[in-house]
Amino acid sequence: MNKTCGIIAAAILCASISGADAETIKLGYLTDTSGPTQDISNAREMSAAGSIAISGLPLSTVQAGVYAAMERNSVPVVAGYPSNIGLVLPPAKANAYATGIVFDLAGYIGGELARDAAPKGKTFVCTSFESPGGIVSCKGAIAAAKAKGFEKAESVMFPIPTRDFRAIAERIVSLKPDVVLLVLGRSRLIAMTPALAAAGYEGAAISMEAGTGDDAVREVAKAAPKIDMWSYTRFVSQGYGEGPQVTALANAAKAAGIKEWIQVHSGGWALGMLMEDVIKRCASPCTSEKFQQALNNTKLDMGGLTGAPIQFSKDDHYGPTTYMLVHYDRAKDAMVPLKGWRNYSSTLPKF
Amino acid sequence: MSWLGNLLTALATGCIYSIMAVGVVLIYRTSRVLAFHVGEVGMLAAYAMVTIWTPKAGPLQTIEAILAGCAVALLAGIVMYILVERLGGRFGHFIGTVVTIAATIALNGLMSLIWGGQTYRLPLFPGAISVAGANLPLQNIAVIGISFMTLTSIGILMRYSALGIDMQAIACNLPLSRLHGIPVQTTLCAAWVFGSMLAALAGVLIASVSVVSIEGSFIGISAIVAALIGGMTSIGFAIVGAFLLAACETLVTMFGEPRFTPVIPVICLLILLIVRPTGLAGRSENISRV
Repeated sequence: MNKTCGIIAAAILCASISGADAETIKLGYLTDTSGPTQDISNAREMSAAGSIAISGLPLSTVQAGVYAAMERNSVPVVAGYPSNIGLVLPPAKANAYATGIVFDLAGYIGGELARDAAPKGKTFVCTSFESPGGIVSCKGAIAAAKAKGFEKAESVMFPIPTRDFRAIAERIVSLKPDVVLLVLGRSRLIAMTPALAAAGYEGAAISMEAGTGDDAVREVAKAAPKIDMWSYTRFVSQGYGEGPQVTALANAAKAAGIKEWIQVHSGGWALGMLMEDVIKRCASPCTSEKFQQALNNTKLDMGGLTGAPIQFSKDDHYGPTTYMLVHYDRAKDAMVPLKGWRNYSSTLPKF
Repeated sequence: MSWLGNLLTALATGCIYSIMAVGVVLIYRTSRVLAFHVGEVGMLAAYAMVTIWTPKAGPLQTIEAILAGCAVALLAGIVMYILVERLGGRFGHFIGTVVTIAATIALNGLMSLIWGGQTYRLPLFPGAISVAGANLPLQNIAVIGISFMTLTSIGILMRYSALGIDMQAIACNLPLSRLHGIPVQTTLCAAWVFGSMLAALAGVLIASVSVVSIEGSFIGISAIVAALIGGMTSIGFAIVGAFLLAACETLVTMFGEPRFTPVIPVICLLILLIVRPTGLAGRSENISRV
């Protein structure tokens, strides 16, 4: 989650706290500059100081540890956009909630959507770096692609520090794919896509929106003129989507001097909305237990930021989700939605 | 599968490793310090360049960007010379190496502070040509050409110029070089600046075929391994080590598991330690004599 997103989310959170009965809420930022050990330590410190809940944690690498540490203290943790671990899917852990994308699920959805990007395609390749999220994403994507009729579906995984993708791109191109699913994040997408183009790839490429940003997808699409560029997303970005919260976010972004708001902003805004809603419903004095009770009865309309309300129950701490496939229109230099929102359950198919 | 494309990729990677490895050897031979910071200097220069350069840049803007990269390298070389040779020299070579490790941390922090960990493209050589059905990116061809010219120039400089001969003399025997009136401090400073310049060039070249990012400074480790394979004492064998490493990495990526590429340098080093502990050059260094 970038700073701007944090600021917007925090602004809403602060506003809501001042108008609600919550007594002790400490805002903490556990960002990707700190590792799991530091984040667990921060969470424990916050819990010891009387915090009733923890939200944020945009990086999946730190979530498992914080969820486990806070479970012992019965403090609910709501992980935000972009990436979440499968622990929040049913059957959920007692205190683990999330509003971002769960890699297990998003990977599977990516494999299904590949059929839309390449209706007559025979070969599907998923590529990602060797992180738990990347591995489960490609595993799910391959299963879904095979279920959608791709004759050949393979994954090409590479080490986390890789930044020179020429050889990896040659390897992918040698598999002769019709569509490539890119589970890469922002910086790797910027490096990988031009390398694919330089290696002679001319098929479709779908970027999983995991904090990548439509601006990055458009940038790489220009650098790879023969690649048909796609993306799929759980949250809207500037240029598509409508609703009261989309307008509110656009106004806030304009006031903050943000040239183009992207999914990390709408994901942060959504987390702020959720916290505001839960805090308001948490009976005074708001404790962790009451906060969790409020979380378990959540059905919050996102006002256009997503295709469905954020919905938590006692047994499902993620809820039904929606995704939108967007296509890069070269003539307009814009991402254009295809077929609108599509509904998915939080229960993963078996594969 | 394009054999020509893969060959070109391996050659270009080997060229980039070679340039940086030669910088490592130059610094080591003259100062007996293992320069761990070269990767960071390379990326710092690439960041400086990408701050000024855009894909639509004209010749003037390109020259400005190159000068910015050179200025960064020059500054890094002089600062490291001052820190290692002038301030830390009396504490020995080991401390000098520790200073370069500290420099990697400081430079990483500096890049994070200035550019916020952002990733940028630096497509200096866009486009591709098609040869015998194979798609050959121009970036690889340009990297090979620039590297060939650079490495040839370094060879000529070391063999025929007064500065190169002075560097070789210092590398062989520092006290005797002093007695012969060689300007030792000036030559040492030049070696650090040369090392930094080569690191910067390698950094910009690797950024042009991939991206400018803090993580890109990982290339420094590959260069050090290449220099170690070469034995740390020979520019020629460092280049051989660089190509060997690049070939192994490309082969594993193409025909094996790309996930295993980070262990290739370690395996290369282990095999070398077992088969030829003094490196490919086979010259054992006695550090204590200097």
